[in-house]
Amino acid sequence: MSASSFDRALRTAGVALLIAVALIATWSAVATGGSAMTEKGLPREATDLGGRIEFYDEDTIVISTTTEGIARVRIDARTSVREPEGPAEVTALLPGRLVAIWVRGSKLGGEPVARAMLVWGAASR
Amino acid sequence: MLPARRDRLVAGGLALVALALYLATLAPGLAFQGGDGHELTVTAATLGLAHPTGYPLFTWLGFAFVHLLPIGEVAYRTNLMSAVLGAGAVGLLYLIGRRLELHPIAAALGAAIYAVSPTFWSETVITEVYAPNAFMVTLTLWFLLRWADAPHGAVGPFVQFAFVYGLSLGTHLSNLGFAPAYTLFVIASDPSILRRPRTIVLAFLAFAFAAAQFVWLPLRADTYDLFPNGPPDTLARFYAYSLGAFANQRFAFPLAALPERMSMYGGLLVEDFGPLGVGLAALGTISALRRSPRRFWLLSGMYVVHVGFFTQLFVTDPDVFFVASHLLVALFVGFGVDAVRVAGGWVPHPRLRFGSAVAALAIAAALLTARAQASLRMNDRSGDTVVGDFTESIFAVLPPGSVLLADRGAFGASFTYRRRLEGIRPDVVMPSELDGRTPRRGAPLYSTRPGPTVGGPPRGALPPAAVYTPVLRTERQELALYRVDAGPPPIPWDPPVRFERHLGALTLVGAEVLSTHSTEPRRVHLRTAWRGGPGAGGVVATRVDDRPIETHLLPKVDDGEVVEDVELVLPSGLGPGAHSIDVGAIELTATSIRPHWTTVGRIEVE
Repeated sequence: MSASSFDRALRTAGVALLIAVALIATWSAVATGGSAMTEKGLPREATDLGGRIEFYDEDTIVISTTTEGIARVRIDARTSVREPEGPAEVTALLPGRLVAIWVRGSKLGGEPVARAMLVWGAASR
Repeated sequence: MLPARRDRLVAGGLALVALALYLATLAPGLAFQGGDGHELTVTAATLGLAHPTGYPLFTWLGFAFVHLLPIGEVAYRTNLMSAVLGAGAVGLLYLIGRRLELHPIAAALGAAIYAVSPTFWSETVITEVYAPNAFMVTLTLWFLLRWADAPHGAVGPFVQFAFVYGLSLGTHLSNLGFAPAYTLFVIASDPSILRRPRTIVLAFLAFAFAAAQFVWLPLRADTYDLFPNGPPDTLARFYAYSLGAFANQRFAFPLAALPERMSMYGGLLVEDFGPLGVGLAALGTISALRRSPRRFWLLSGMYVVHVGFFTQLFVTDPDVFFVASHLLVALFVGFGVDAVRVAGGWVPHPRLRFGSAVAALAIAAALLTARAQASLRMNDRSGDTVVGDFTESIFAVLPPGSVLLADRGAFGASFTYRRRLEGIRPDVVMPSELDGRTPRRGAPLYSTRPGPTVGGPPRGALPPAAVYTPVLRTERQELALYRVDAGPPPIPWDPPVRFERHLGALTLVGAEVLSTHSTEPRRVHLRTAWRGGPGAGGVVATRVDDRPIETHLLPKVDDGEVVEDVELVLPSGLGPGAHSIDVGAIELTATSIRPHWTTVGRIEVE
């Protein structure tokens, strides 16, 4: 294969690569609604203030209460709420330090029946 | 073939400006961020063995910095290594851009945007492998391009490239993933090399000689405590420690998770280069392909393998793993800038062309400055002293002959640092050090965690019903010292002066600042008594002047009172003079976290 035909093959393959990357990027943007999830930061400590924290990991906290069953909140690394399930919502936060989660009396709102709080540590390196 | 004098000057200038930024924001000791950094500092200073994959070259470079640069404490010197080699990577990035035939302005802008990108900057101010590795990756790439520019058949430059590439495995073994792109580029640049076996054998020997640094692993397999890893003292364990490391974290995501992983990566990319930078990089890929398919495939091949691997790696801190591939993005930014510059040549009128160029440069300078300012705010670690203050304070408050339970191995390296490098408080028995010492019966027992420590504690070290009482707190909730008792400790204090300060749902009924003067390591001794309604708990905090120095959860108050008696570590950055001490309760409302503060005393810092 001559140098010029080799270069042509490399160029064609390069175009294919760029198209593939563009397709994957478009698919990712469409499938995730364009949200850029990052994983910086992990909840280092979780303690209940009425509700009971059953489980937490880098982006999910599961709280149980005696009256409302289990609530589950997914939280992204910027400590904003994603995909609350059950009667839970994140109501307040102190960036980098505390996240407070209310479990309300019903899915439509009402007075909190349990609260949970977790301390959000800095990213591990 | 050395770069032109002008290019050497520009590269040096860029590196010096970057170094000035990194030095201004450098952590003065063990940084809170970068947990591995504590271990890497200790292993560098003592020529030990770091966590997988061992990082031999990093360890040796760190040893040189620690022992040849008597500036600041040991951890400062390994932090300094990150700054110096990070700045070196910036200069080399410019020289690589020039070897790729970018215009000096385009090459400089690519290097500059990398220099101020938040993730890379964050790694140049602490002890970590990523900035030194960026230096080694750029050095390897520069040597490869230097060989490509040399007359065909040149043996020396190719062997030098192979040697540097082998060395670079010792700052991050993932550099092995660049091999296919390097190989393709070599064959595409000089196909006749396949007919020169002597050159290939010499290059392979140079690579193998440099990669033989990994003999360091079995040689140092018996150094200190490698927990949670086993010593690489057999062939199978050597593989598990190096090429086989983190096997359960690789390719950890199913194909269905690809969009989410790529979205995560896209977010990091925008965070580091900004939307304009990402756009220029995308344009740059097309431009690079048009200009030279070989060079395009060199950069793209490196990039695709690296990003493909690390987006599928399950880690809690994925951003730093892209520091090396961001080098390639920065080069594509340079190509993008060059494409815009060339397109500007089509502007018809010379004066209009000149005006457009000036305007484009002004915009670029403004964007770079804005990014630099944002990075500066995010990455200024010059006041990051909490780990040093904490470990120093612990050994200052422990009674003689105490037993201190701390995390083992890499997790407890900040204590290893104090004990092994500074020889502090040999009377304190630390079972995590595995030195065979048996704690004295009845010795005061302390722990750095309110429960079992990582990797321990050893059998029988804890009483059957251990109760943990905090005695030392810092601004980081996870950095605290607890006294361990066999049963509930008696309430140690009845406030001599009682008052009723209602702070949200909690009531402060007594508070006393017991230490009125503070010297190094700075602490303030504080007692507080809280009362709340039935079942009430809450968040309480302390601040000095207006600076919060700790926040923690108060145990359930019920109908009684909770008394806390702790020493609070004051930040090293607190200036001398009198400072007011405030305690507060943090009220959780429906929409906010509202602190209620009250002043309880003053302290004179010397």
